[in-house]
Amino acid sequence: MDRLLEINGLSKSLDGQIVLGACHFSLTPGHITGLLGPNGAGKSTLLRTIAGLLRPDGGEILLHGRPIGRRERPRVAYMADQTQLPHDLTVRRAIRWYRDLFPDLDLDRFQAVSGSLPERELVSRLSKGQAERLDLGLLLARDADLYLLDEPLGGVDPVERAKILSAAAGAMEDHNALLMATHLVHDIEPILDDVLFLRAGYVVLSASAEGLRQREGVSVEEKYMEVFGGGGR
Amino acid sequence: MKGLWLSAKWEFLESELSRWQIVFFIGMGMFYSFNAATSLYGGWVAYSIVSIHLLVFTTMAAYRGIKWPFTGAFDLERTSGRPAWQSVLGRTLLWTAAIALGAALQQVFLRICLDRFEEIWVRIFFDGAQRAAQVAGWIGWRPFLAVTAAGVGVYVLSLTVTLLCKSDKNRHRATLSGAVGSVLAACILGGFLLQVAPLGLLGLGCILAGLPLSIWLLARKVE
Repeated sequence: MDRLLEINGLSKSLDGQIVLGACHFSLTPGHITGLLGPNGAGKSTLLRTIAGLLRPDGGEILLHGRPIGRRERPRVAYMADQTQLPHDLTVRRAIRWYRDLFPDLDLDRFQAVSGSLPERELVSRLSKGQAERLDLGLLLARDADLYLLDEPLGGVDPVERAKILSAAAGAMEDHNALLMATHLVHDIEPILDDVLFLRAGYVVLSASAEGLRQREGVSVEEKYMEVFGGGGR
Repeated sequence: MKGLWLSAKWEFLESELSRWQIVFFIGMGMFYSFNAATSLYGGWVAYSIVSIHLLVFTTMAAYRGIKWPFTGAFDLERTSGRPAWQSVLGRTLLWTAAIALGAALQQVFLRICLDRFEEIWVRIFFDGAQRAAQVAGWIGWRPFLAVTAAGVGVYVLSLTVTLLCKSDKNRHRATLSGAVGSVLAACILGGFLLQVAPLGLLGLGCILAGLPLSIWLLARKVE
C-alpha cells in the first residue's frame, strides 16, 4: 500500500534531553491514526516537527516519498491544542486571514464542519468548544494531504467532542490522512484505523486498530492500558 | 509578491493601527503638537510633543516586532509556505509607512516651531538664533529620511533580536520578557553608538544588516 507520510529516524532534543528518539513509522492514505501516549511522551513535539515548526536534529520526513520543502508545507495542515488565530480579530476577519494564508480553503466545507459561530465575536472571547470548532473547520476545509491535530478534544464537552470526531471522520478521503494526538483513547477509538503509541520519544507500537482487536482480542484502550502500565483487561 | 501585500495588510489589521482609537490619537496629537509648536516655551518637552506621532508609531512598531514571533499566527504563517522575505518585508513596509507619517507630521510642527522662533525668539532670548538654527537643522528631506530610517531601524532591530532569541540553543523556551530585555539592551547600545555615528546612518545600518539577517533566521533557524 502507498505511504503518504514516512518518518525515518526522526530525532529531536530540547534542552539536552531527547524528546524524540529515532522515530520510525508511516501513514497510509485514507486512514485516521491515533497518536497516543502519556504526558511528556513527545506527541506535540512530533506533530510540531512534522508541521515544520520545529527543526529535526536528525532523520527525515517524507511526504509522498519526498522531503517537505517550503512549497509543500501547506500540504500538511496543523492544528495546535490552542487556537493559533490572531486573538484580536473577529471570527469573520480571522476566517479571511486564514483564507489569505491558505487560498485553497473551501468555505462550504468550513460551514459544514464548524456549524454556526458568532462571526462578530473576537476570537479571544470564543468558548473552548467554539474555538475548537472554528480551528477544526478551517483545518479540514483545506485541501491538504495530511491533517495533524494536537489534542483537539481537550476541554470540550461530550457533545462537542462527538461533533469534532464526526467532522474529522467525515472529512477523510482516499488521498489524505489524519494523525490525531489525544489522551481520550475511549472517545477516539470508534474512528481510528491505526494507532501509534509513543513513550519517551520512541514509537513503541504501530498497528492497525482492527488488527489489535482481531489478533489480540483487545480494544485500543485496553492495549493502551497494557502498554502504559495500567494493567490491561 | 502577493504574500508581501497580504503580510502588510494583516499586520495593519492585527495591529493597533486599524483601531478607531488611532484616529482619535492622530487628531489629538495634532492638536497638542500644534499647541506645543506655537507655545512660548519651545523647550525639550515641546520637541517631544511635536514628535508624539513619530514616537508612538515607532514604539508600536517595536512592540509588534517583538510580539509577532511569539504568536500562534506566526506559527500558522510558517506552515503556509509563504516565503520568509515576504513576511518580513511586508511588515517592514507597513511600519515604514506609519513611521514616515509620524516623521512627516513632526516636520510640519517643527516648521511651525521654526516660524515662531525666527519671528519672536530671536528678539527675546540671547541664544534665540542658536535655538532657531537647531530646529532648522531638523527640517528638510535629509532629517526626514534620517528620522524615518532610525524609526524603521528600531523596528527591524526589535524583530531581528526577537528572532535571534528564538533561534539560539534555548529557542523553544524563548520568552517574551527575555526578548523585551534583549531588544532594550540592543537599543541602549544603539543609543551609545549615536555618539560616533549619525542617527540616519545608524538606522540605515540596522535596516541593511537586520533585514537579511531576520529573513535568514525566519527561513532557516527560528523554532
